[in-house]
Amino acid sequence: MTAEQLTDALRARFPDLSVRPVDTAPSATVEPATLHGHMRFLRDELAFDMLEAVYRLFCSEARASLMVRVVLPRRAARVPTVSDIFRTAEWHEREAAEMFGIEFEGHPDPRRLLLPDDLEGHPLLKDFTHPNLRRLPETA
Amino acid sequence: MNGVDAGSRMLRMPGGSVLVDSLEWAINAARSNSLWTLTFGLACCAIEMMAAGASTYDWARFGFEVPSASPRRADMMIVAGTVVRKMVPVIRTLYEQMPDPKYVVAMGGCAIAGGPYVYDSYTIVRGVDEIVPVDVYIPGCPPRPEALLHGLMTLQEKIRSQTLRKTGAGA
Amino acid sequence: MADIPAPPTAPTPAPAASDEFILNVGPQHPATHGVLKVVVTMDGEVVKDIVPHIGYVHRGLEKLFENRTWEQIIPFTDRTDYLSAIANNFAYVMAVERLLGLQVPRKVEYIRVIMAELNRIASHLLWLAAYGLDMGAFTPFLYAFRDREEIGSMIESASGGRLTTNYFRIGGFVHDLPPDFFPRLRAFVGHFGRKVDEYDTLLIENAIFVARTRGVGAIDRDLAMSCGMSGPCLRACNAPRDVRKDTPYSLYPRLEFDIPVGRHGDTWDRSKVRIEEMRQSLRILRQAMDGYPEGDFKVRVPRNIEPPAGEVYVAVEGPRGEVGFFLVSDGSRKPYRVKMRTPSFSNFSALPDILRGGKIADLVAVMGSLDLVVPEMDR
Repeated sequence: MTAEQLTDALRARFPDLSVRPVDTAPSATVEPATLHGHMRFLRDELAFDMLEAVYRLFCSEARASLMVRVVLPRRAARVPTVSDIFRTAEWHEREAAEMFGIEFEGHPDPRRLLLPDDLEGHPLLKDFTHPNLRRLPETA
Repeated sequence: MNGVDAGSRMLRMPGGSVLVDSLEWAINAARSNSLWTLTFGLACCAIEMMAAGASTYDWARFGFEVPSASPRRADMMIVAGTVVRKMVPVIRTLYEQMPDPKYVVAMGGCAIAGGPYVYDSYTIVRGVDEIVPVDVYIPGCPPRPEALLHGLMTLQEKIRSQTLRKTGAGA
Repeated sequence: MADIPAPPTAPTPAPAASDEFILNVGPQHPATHGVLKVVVTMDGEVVKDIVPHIGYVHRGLEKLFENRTWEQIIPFTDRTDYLSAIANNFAYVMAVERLLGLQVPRKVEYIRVIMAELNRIASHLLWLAAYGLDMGAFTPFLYAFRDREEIGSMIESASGGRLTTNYFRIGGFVHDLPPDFFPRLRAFVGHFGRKVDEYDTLLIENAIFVARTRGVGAIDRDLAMSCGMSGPCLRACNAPRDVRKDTPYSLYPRLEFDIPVGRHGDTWDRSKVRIEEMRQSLRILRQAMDGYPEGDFKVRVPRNIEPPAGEVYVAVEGPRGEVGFFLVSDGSRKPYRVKMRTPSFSNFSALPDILRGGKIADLVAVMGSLDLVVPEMDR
């Protein structure tokens, strides 16, 4: 379906959803509480079966045809898991959890995925500090 | 024998040093010409290591024929790839499981000093020599198979220069 | 020497019955294709549960990228999935060009596609070599590397690198292709078709291989798509998904090629799909060689690349599946966020579902058929 048809379908189902074009695809911003319902609609009725979820916390993971963003507070960010809808989210959410400190409610296996156990903090946050990190010069 | 010191009976015999030299030569030749490597490819350098073992470059003609998956039978460990903190206990365990005499070759920039990630990666270990003692360093990212072969031949030379005689620093 | 940290204390499942036991496969293991750990709970030979552990080569690339200029990131993209370095370069460079609103000359598109398809063949050859080695077949390893050397040498004459090429640049290339490139490519394409048939009969159609792989490790198509699988692993499940056809990029809309699709989603189908993909890549190479235009090999870009603030996601079809880059620019010389979507990450997450209830001897066959490259998973 085209971007316009997709935007119309989304607006018809969720009238108060804010949808705007980003790059070649529409992007819809949702609240955390309603995320699950939106995702279920997308999978079951619009047949988005290869979706990679997007969570906006100064970060996002996106798919070309649709981006769904959730605006989350920086500290104590909580969002319901979508791994029961899209299986691939299981590992992506684990990674996002350890990298950004987001808590995914209801996640079946919230262990660390990539980071070593002795690393404290959430590396991809902009205020992460580590003895190794230093700003490199921008010389060409 | 565990090191022949200057006062030992063998060296005091007439022609004793010739005997020790010949033994050294034979033992070192045997060791250097049949090094079994522990298959320990971590990242990109592993592919060039495989290429060095495959048809065009073929390290089997130097004696590195048998790659041993188990450290218990391996003579040398070629650390080929990036070492990160999560991997450190594994590398140390493998090194300690290898029986003596054992040698470690650091292949590629990451194993030598951290590679392109050395500056600001929060998980990198800046060189595998922070974990195990390294005998030969092979620079490159990744080193060509010829460079790996050169490094391994350097290791062979190093082995051939080892001595049975006890030196001041211990055998 | 540095302090040795304690081994990771990831929870391993306790055996429920007295005749279950836990087997640890990896991180150092000849058949894991890199450093990953798989903890298998078994009842005799049957796999009850399988828990993958990754992160043993996690270099923190996404954080690293926030500290590098846009051009400095290109060599790092090679080293995530080193077997498909060109595909990684391709996705990243196209993403930055999309942010800049840059259009590259046609000749650049042709060279990119030629390199990408050569890289696909080389990657599948290495898969064949390593997979045969895992299964106990040594000959395909030697044959495949012989052909891989030929491809690597061609790519090296153009880029300077055999494996991690660092070849593509934002806007094109640094030099044109060398004069002997096309004669070599023509010779290669001329004789490689017979080689693919040889690999087919040597390994894929070999009775022992078929017995070990047919019906083994089948994955249901809907589950595969839900797990985010892509590439040959997904196409083997009778799902004709290919980024080159679904969201075409570069030269692919103008090229004719088929997408090989398997029927049952088992290990044999995944293997057969890769062999067929090599044939299709040869087809693409022939078309690209025949239509190769004259023109510029690069377009002028500013000395300091500062894409305007915005986001973009660009994916290409790499040998393992969909390789994507999500870039967020804040208008400065360094990116704000780079997210790599790597196929092995999603493909591997399906392993528990594929193997649960299967036999331990099939573990090696299935993991090899997924064609994993671990640094790509860990980044």
